[in-house]
Amino acid sequence: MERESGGIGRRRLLGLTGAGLGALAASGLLAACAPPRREEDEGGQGGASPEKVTLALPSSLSSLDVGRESGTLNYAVACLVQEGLLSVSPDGELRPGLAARWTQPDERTYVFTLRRGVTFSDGTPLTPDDVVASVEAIRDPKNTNALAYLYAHVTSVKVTGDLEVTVRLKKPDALFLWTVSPSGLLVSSRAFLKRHRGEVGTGKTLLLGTGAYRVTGFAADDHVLLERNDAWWGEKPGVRTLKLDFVPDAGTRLVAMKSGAVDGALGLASDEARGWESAAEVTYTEDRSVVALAFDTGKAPFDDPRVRRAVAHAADRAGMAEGILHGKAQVAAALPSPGMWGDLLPAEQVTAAYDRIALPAHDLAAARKELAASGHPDGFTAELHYPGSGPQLGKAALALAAELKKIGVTLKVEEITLEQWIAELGSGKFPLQFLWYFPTTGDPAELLDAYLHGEAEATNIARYDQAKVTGALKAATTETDSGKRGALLLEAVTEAAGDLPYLPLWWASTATALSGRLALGGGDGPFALTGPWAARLRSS
Amino acid sequence: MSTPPPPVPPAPGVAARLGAALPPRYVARRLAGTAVLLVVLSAAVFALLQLAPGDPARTLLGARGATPEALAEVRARHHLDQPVLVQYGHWLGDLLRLDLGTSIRTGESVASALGDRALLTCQLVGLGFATALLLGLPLGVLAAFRERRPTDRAVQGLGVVTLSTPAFASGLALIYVCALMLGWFPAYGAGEGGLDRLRHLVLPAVTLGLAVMAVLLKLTRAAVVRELARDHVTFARARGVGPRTVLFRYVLRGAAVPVTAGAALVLAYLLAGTVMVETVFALPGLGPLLVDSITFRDLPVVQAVALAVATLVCLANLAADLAQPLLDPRLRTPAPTPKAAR
Repeated sequence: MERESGGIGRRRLLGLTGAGLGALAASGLLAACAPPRREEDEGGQGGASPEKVTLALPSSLSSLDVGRESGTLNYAVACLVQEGLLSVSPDGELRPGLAARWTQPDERTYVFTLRRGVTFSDGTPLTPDDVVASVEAIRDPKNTNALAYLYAHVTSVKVTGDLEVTVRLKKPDALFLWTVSPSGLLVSSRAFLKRHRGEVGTGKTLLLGTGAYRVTGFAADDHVLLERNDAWWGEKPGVRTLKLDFVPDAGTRLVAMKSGAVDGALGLASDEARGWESAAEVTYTEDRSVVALAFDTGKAPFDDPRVRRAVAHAADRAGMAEGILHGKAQVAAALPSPGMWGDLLPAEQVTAAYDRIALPAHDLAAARKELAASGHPDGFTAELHYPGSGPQLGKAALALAAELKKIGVTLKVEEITLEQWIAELGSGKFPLQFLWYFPTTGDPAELLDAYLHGEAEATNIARYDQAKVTGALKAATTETDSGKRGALLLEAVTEAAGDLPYLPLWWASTATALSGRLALGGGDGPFALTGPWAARLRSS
Repeated sequence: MSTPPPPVPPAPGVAARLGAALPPRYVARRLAGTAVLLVVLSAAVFALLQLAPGDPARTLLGARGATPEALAEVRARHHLDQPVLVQYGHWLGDLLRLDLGTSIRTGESVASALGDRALLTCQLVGLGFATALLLGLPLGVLAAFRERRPTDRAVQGLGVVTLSTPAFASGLALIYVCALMLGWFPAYGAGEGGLDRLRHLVLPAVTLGLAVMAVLLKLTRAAVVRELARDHVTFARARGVGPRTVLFRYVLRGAAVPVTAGAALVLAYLLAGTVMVETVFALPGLGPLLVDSITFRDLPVVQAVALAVATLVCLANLAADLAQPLLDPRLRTPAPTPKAAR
């Protein structure tokens, strides 16, 4: 779940989710009284792509290696430089990547055939041994790789032919193909990994990959510099030089855009993005992340389902999406956002099933009634902590506290650092917590296996254990037919919804701003920033 | 009738005068004191960081990757599983071998993570200090000469405004005016070497300098007002000595001691101010690194940055202390007389 970046995604995420310092308020003011933007088009003449593009990122990366720091912005950068065996389309479908094709001779074996003629940006050819070395590097304890857990059930990864890699698993895993997509495997060369063991992704070592760009410079808190990799096997990117500047202050970022110092920005918070609409084209993209309340079902007072329902009735979820996220979020019906089902089920089927989930509506009278009938009729006191990198979570918590006060429940809201929040998540000390998760795969099981599975003790912070739900999830792990698997997962979701171990609040979106002369082609689905997104930058 | 002036004894050489003002034993004692202070500080930082919330191993691995084995592995590699005193011993031992260790967060050597950042922060602090001196001293003198008149009040009011404006507001205002409206300076970033770096640092340095300028202004004003009231200054003015001579020969000489001491203190404020200024101007200095490393509990980096900053502050104070006897003979430690030596 580092992968979940927000959650755990550490600072970038934070940035992503808007760690704007106090100057946020000023950005609206600046937007209102800004002088007309200087038009300076270098080489942006009709249709041709600009040679150099500079984009602002809201927070710095500390490492380019996604195994060491796995925020969404880390992925956005690394996926330009490195590739996985499989790739992901903007809509969330798995497609060939470095592997031109793959077969599954039995349910525990995968055979990948690599694309012919692929070279790393240093000129050396990609071999199956490099793929093996990349997996070994993730599993090497010396590298402290946060993705190592994904390979816990892998028995062996072997070179079985000129262009062939065979992976064997201890037990069937329907999610495995996602593991070798960019979210779980970014391939580098054996020589490079050996040379820089334990320190890949620093300003000195950078990254080596086969991707659309090669990274030529990185300084934490400053910038990442990328040059087009002309030897890339995909469609040639239009932009030759891409500079990503880390500009943590929201006000500075906006002025930089207005003065023409940057051509756009990624990962703007919804508060901030509104201020950008006068200076740039802002696109809102569902980012698959979810914010929910997690009730510890094994601990008083939330072990009482009536208490959970009372809290749910008190939460004005539609008001949060509208008032706090300015309508740029969707009221959530479950943990996996609709975009997470893209590879399994048709959208209509998911929407229909989600519509049938009837979470308690905002209704204080009903909340009072539930509480009166519960084991805590006189109310209780609870704590709710939120990470400083998620101010929107803090606002939601305060809104909830105000409503709960009316029914006699005291909610103490406190801001803590992201690091402290991560440490508290698995500690079991706090019966009410925020769940804030950015999935890296496009498979609902990523969330469901972590949070609803009765045997997932490390991650299931609600300690939810229901035989029927766990049974459906287990069956889905070995089910190879995607339609049947989707149905099993959907069954787990709807079944668990009635018990309310989590109260899903909203599915968020991320905002991308680009100056009028640029456009990001090829669709803006929920996976638009996974994969070589910058290769699609063109003059508009 | 006038008597001839008494014969002037030959002036002692520069080295002898320096030796008299700053006896080597005094300097050595002060240096040793500074070293002890730094060791105590490093222990204090180490202890304080133990109290900080969060768990670096868990942050590094993420909630899903944090299996007991993986956690144990990370903790063992960075000695996080050992008693605090042993951890501190490891760190101190490495330091004595001039090894600052490896960052837990990035795996990079701390020395290389610090290198360019320390240089940038020093440049920023240097320019900020120069700005504060260039604005604070003349304005302080001006206010003192116009004591309790409108100019004095205006200057002091200006000082209060700059002192109480947070850097993110003043910085943003400067960026808005000087970068966006006038286009004189770049909005953010550190630039690349030489003049470009200087151009990028003008706005941050002014932001930083303005915030502490008021401290120097107040100190200078108070010192100059006090000097102006002294008998020898009144007498000099009565004698018809020109105002410029009065200012430079009499007043500023007397005001130099308190102002120097204050300036050294201001340096500590400047270093603290860089955290905010570097964030506003997106500068990759020590400030953002320190903040991130503290919340991550990246011990080796926090220790190194804290020590670097503490060393700078201690050395600045040491320099100010050593300068005082040079500026004012009355502050010199009396040389031990033969009698006292016995």
